[in-house]
Parts: sequence; C-alpha cells; structure tokens
Amino acid sequence: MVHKEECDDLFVKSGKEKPETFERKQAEYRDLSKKFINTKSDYSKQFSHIYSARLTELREALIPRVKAKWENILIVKLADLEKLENQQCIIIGTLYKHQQWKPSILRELSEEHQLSASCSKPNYCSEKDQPFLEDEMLRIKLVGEQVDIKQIITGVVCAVLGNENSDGTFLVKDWCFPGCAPKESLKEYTSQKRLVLVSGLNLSNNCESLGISLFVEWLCGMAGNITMQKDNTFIVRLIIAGNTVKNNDTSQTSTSKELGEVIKFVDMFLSNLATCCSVTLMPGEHDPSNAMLPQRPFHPCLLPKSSRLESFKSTTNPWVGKIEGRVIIGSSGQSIQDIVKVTGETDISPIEWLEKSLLWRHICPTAPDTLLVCPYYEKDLFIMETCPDIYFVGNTDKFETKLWKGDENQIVRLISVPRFDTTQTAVIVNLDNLDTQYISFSNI
Amino acid sequence: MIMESLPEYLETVAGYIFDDDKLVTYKWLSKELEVHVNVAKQILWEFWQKYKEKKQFECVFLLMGHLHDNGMRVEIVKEKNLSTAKEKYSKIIAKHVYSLQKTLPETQLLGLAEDGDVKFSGIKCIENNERNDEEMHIFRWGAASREIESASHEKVQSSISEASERKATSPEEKQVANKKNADRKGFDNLFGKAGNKQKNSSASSNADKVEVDSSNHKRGTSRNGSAEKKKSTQKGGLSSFLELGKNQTKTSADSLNKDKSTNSLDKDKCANSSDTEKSANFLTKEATEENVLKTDLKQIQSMKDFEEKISKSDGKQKQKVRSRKRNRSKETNNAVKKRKRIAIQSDSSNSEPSDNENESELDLPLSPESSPAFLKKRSISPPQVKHENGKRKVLRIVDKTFEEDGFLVTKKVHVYESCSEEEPEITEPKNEKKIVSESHSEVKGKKNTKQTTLMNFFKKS
Repeated sequence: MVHKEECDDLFVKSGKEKPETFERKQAEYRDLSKKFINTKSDYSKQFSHIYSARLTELREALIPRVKAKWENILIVKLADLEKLENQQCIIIGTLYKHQQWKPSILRELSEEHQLSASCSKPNYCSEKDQPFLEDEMLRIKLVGEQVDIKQIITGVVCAVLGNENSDGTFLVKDWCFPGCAPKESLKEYTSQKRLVLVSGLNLSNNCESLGISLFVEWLCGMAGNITMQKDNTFIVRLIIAGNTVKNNDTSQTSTSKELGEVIKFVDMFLSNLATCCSVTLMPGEHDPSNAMLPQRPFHPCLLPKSSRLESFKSTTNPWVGKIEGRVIIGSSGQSIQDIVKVTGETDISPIEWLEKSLLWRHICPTAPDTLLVCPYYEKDLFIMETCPDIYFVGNTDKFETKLWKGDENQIVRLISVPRFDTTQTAVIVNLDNLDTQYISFSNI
Repeated sequence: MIMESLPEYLETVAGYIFDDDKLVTYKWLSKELEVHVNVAKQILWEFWQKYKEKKQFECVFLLMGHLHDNGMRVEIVKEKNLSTAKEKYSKIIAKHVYSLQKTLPETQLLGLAEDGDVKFSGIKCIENNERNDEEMHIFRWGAASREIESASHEKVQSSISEASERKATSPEEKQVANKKNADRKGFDNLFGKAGNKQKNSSASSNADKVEVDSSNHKRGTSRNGSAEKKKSTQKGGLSSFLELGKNQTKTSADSLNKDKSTNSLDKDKCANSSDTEKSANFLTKEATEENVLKTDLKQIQSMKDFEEKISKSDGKQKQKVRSRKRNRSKETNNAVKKRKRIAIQSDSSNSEPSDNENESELDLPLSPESSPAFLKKRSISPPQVKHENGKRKVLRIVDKTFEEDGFLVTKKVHVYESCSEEEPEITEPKNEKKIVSESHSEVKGKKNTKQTTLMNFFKKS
C-alpha cells in the first residue's frame, strides 16, 4: 500500500516508545537597535540638522572614494564654484528633487478648506520635477545626459563630477556614491541554523485563514513528519517585519474596541509561536506604534501574554540585530515604498532599491523629506555603519532575493519579504551560506 | 502503548466524525486526546485505512515538498485531488492526514478549525522561559521604575511613621496616603522617569501634609505649626485662622507666631499660672489654641476653666476617634470655640466688659444657618480708619458666611464699618447684626462655622 509506506515514518517504531520530540536549536542573539530607542528626540528641533549630520558623516566616506575614482580633481564647495570659472570639479552634497506633488501640509490644508482640488496620486512625480544638489549653504541645479530624474532620490548624499554652466546649472559627467559600508570582520560561518522572515500577517482580517494556521503548524513542528520536524529545529528565530495587526488604513472605520480584540488575538498568536520558537517582532506602518521612524517596539502591556516569554522580543523598525554573528538590518517596508513613490518608477523592483540604498549607505534617504522621522539633530541614525549580512525589506508584493557582492568582499543577502496576507509566503534564510528560499502555505 | 489503545482511539474518532459531525484535524485530536501530534496523525491514518471502504467521509491531506523553483510549499489537498497536486512538487517531504470529516466543501474552512496545543508538537523550545512578575515589572517599566517605586514607598512610610510618633495615627489618613502612593506608582511608571521626579516631590509634599496635620492636631509646638499651617489652610486652617485673627488683634498683620506665643506666654505668667500650666500639660491640642485659651484666662477666668475642660475632653476624644472625617468635625468644633474665644479676646484686648460676651452669645444663634450672608466681626487690631460722610469708619476683617453649593463657606472680608469713637465696644456687637456691604474682599481661607452648637453649650454653662 503506497500510502502506508509514505506515512510509515510517522509511526513510532516499537509502538511502546514515547513519540519523539526534538529540541529547537539555540542561537546567539543581539539586538543592536538600542540607538533607535535611546536617542533623545527633541521635537522642537528643525529637520535640517539631519541633513547636515548626514552630509558631514557621509562626506568623510565619500572623499576617499572620490579620490580613488577621479584622482586629482578638485573637490569644491558650492560657494566656491564661481571662482573656478567653469573648470571641471567635484562637488559633494545631498540630492534634492523638487517635486510638486510630494506631501505638503499647506496643500493638505488648502484641500481641506477646498481651496484647491484634491487629487490622490500614486506617487509624488510630475513633469516639472527638478534635480538639485545642495550642501550646507547652497543648491545647484543638475543638468546633463547623466541626470535621470527618475533616479534622483531626495536625501541621497553623493559626489558629482562636472562643471558649472554659464547659466548657473551644473553639468554632470559622473556620479559617485558612498558605497557599501565596510564589513566588520570576515569569518567563517558553520552553523546550520536558519531564520524565518515574514511580514504583513494582517491578523485583523486574516486571523482565520488556513495559510496562517498552516504556517504556525509548520513552524511549531506540528505538521509534517519526523524528518521534517527534526529539520525545522534548525529554525532558530522568526522575524516578523511589520503590519502584523493590520495592513492598511481602511480599518479607520473599525472602532478601537475592535482593534483591541485584534490585538488580543495577536497576543495569543504570538505567545503561541513564542512558546515554540524565538520571535522578533518589528512594528510596521499600520501597527499600533508611533508613525515616525524609527518606530518603537510594541509596549509590553499591549501584548501581555507574549511579553512574558523570554523568547519573544519586541523591537524597533528599522531593526539592526546580530544572530549567530550575522548582522541583519531590516525595515518593515516604509523606506523602500517611499523611494518608489519618489521615483514614480514601477518597473524597478524593491530589491533594486534595496541594493541602491546599500550603496547610498543609508536605510531611508527620503526621510525626513517625505517620510516621517523624529527630528534627530546630533546624528543621522539611519546611516549604515556596518555592512549587513542580511538586508531585508518587508511588505513587498512578491518574494525576491539577491546575493550582492561588493568590491571589498562584502557579501550581502538582499531579501524582499512579501506580504503574507496576499502571498501566504514566508522566507527561510540559512545563516550558514545565506541560502534563501521561500515557503508558501496556500492551497490555491 | 499507543498501539494498544488504538482501538479505543479509533472508536472515539468515529464518534467525533459520525456522531458529533466534527471536523477532526490532527492538531485538535492531539489536544483532545492529549497525545503527541504525530500520534494523532497516526490515529487518523489508521482510521482512514480502516473505514475508507466502509463509510462515507472525506479525508484531507497535508502535503509538503520542494517545488521546481527551489521554493517550498505546504498545502492541504483533498484526497481526490492528491495526484494532481503532487505534480507541482519536485520532491515531497511529508504527507499525512490533516483532517477527517463527513464533508468539507472548501479546504479554506479548515482555517476555522481550532488550534492545536503547541505542547504536543514535535519541537520543544527551551528558550521560552516565562518571566516572573518582578522581571515583568522591570521589563515593562524599565529598570529605573523599580528604584523610584521603592524610594517613594520609603518616603511615605517614613512620613507615616513620623506621624505615628506624634500619635496622630488616623488610619484613614494612612490609607489615603498609601492609596495615593499606589496610584501614583502605576501612573508614574507609565510616564517613566521624568514623571517620577514630579510625583516624588508631590509625594513628599503629601507627606508634609500628613506631618502638618499631625502636628496641628497633637503637637504643642505652635512655631512648627504656624509655619506650615498656611500651606494647609484646609486642614489646619482653623488654627491658622485663629492665628491670623490674633495677629491682627495684637500686632500688624505680618507678626510672627513666635512673638504672639511669647506674648501670650507672658500674659500667662502674670495670670494664674498654675491653671495655665496645667492646661499646657494636659492639652493635646494646638498650641495656638492653648494660647488663645491662656489669653482668655486673663479676662474670663470662669470661661477659661470651663473651656479647658472641654478642650481636655476634646483632646481625649480626638485620640479615641479614628476616623479622619470625625476628626475634622471635631476640629471645626474646636475652632468654633476658638473663634468665639478670639472674638472675646479681641474684645478683651480693648478691655471690654464681660457682659459684651453675653451679647455676642445672643447674637450667635441667628448666625450662619439663619442668615446666609452673616457677618461677624473678626478683629480690629491696627484699625485703618477713614472718614466718610462725616462718619468715622474702621477697616475690619470680618467673617462672611455664604451658602455655596450646599456648603457653608466662610471668607474673611475687609469691611469698613462705621463706629463711634467713644464706644467702640458697644458698636461692635451691633455691627455683627448689620449686613455690611463688602467693599473689598480677600479670601484667606475656608472656614466652617458651627458656632451655634458651641454657643448653646456655653449657654448651658
């Protein structure tokens, strides 16, 4: 009998032994995102401090690269451009794309008072967008064939080679970005341990889907046979990248009471998972956390059952952590979504922007321009100080992954983690060789 | 072990499926029968093998395997679709019975099935230690909250112990303090450290209040009391009121309590000292009260003796009385006496004959309850005088009692009262009866006047 054979491994061989249970492997875990919680945010400060801090820090990183790339060409400040009389030179500054349709409080206000027609656009782009480069004092318009307005992202620090035109614009000949941050240390990884990444569980209207319950059964070692359960003990941690509670703002209609019910369910769900697997929970755009980046961890009182478990870690968004020596940086998706809105380009997948942001050395360059962020004034927290091993973004439309290799032997696993509620997909990453595969739980 | 009890299990499952019409998933079964999930799967498998020919029911399988594009997939398929479903996979890792039921129109419905219990699963996690309450507290509120909590606790306790040393142990007060503290704790913690500092200070001020209360009630140190009384006008208000009144009678408004008490002491000495000393020893009330009594002694000996008795008995009563409310009402009673006394005393300072007192006594019954805007002459110390329409008017501070929201509220009011230079003593009682329009009002403190009762008391005497 075919079935019989297939199911044989379920059977306890002697019939007298106790059924086997396996112990989940443990992994060294460090949360490095303390800086997102501990840094004081003074809301009376201006946002310009972020830009100047960002420029100061990334200029340091740019100068050696610029010198290596273009050798002996002079680096000048924008204020000194006049003196050069259209000579070729290098300017370092922050890109700024003037966009008519980017979020503006004044426009919101005038729409509210019906002074202007409201229009909802999928992105901030228009025909009139203009690229600028600005340093601490001045800005200059960028022109030339090398300038692709779609590729200009506000907030990115870069060096530009070219010369000033007589009309006061800057003719761009070449670009240079800070590049990926150097790797802390190169070492051998031998652990067979794995991570599971998931995002957009959207439990508010997804709590009874079969996908969710299959996912839990799979992760907790209920489903499958003994071999599979044994294999799953190597999954050391589950990272939930945002939008666990809900996935959109349409639930504005739902009352806070309903939200409370949902959070109770989320607590149950997470405590269930956490009894069987270590869990790291990041808040997302639509979760009950602060709207400004960095989003703070869910308060322990919000999830009383889960918080009791030591295996459950509530953390920030974006998040930086270290598991078994692997540096992991991830966000719940806002950073990349906003970049996509700024460019208006739909053909470029999130994974490419993820790669670019690695080269920009910045997790979310569009903050504070179009992305809400706390007005830090001493330091820009979102600059990547070290090169991650795994760099992921949550709440994307589909699963994608790429193994990125840098000039300085950096190897980074880029992952776009799809929304679970639409794709029923989770991602498994092997911490040993950074192999990544998806696992879907649908039966469609 | 499992195989032995298998027939029983199968019977149970048959009952669930055919009799109860249940959706029997392996996870539910493992929870229900309290067996390992793999055993539950085995039971279902055996059941399926045994009955699939005989009975009409549906079996749903769980398939898990690698797909052709390096992905993995976990899905649930009905038995009839099994072969087509398998084509998707390059390799099937696991396949087992997911559930058995009479009918299943849609596999998605299995999402509604009850969750299994993780403790019967195939993987144990040793990291899932639970935090205990203390750890949880630190975890929730941060490490700082704990220190602060204990600190504020200590503070309150110390203040309480101080208070109890002074025999001012009114348990309700304590409770209130504790309660407040407890409330504060939770609240503080919510708002973190910054809040705590504020709260702490308020805690200490609260403690102060307790101290003030106790000292006001029981301690004989008028100096101590007077310094703090003004802060707590509501609690020690009456005594402070007395002081104020007295101050105005004797010295200018800013005269110190110290001076006053020494003054009164001096007076005591020249008066029959034995009595006053005795009273000083016995009185457990405020010193001011004593002082008042002492000064009274000089003028109206008989009254004083009597009052002493009252105050003594009052003091005793006070000690017995535990409830704060009642304490308060006592206080007011005392105050009433005091007030009256002061009135007398102030009169006496003007060398007023004692028959005047009778008049005031007579006046009193028609006071606060009867007339809502009753005025009582309070003090006359350095009388500010002005002339109006050829009449001499003196600025006085008078008590005005209003009925406000069902409470009797007494305020101190500056009023110009007309008086004749020759016989101010006589005019004073008359003024009391008159309702004088207030020219300038100044709120000094709340007072509760229950003079009638006391006056009645005196009358009887």
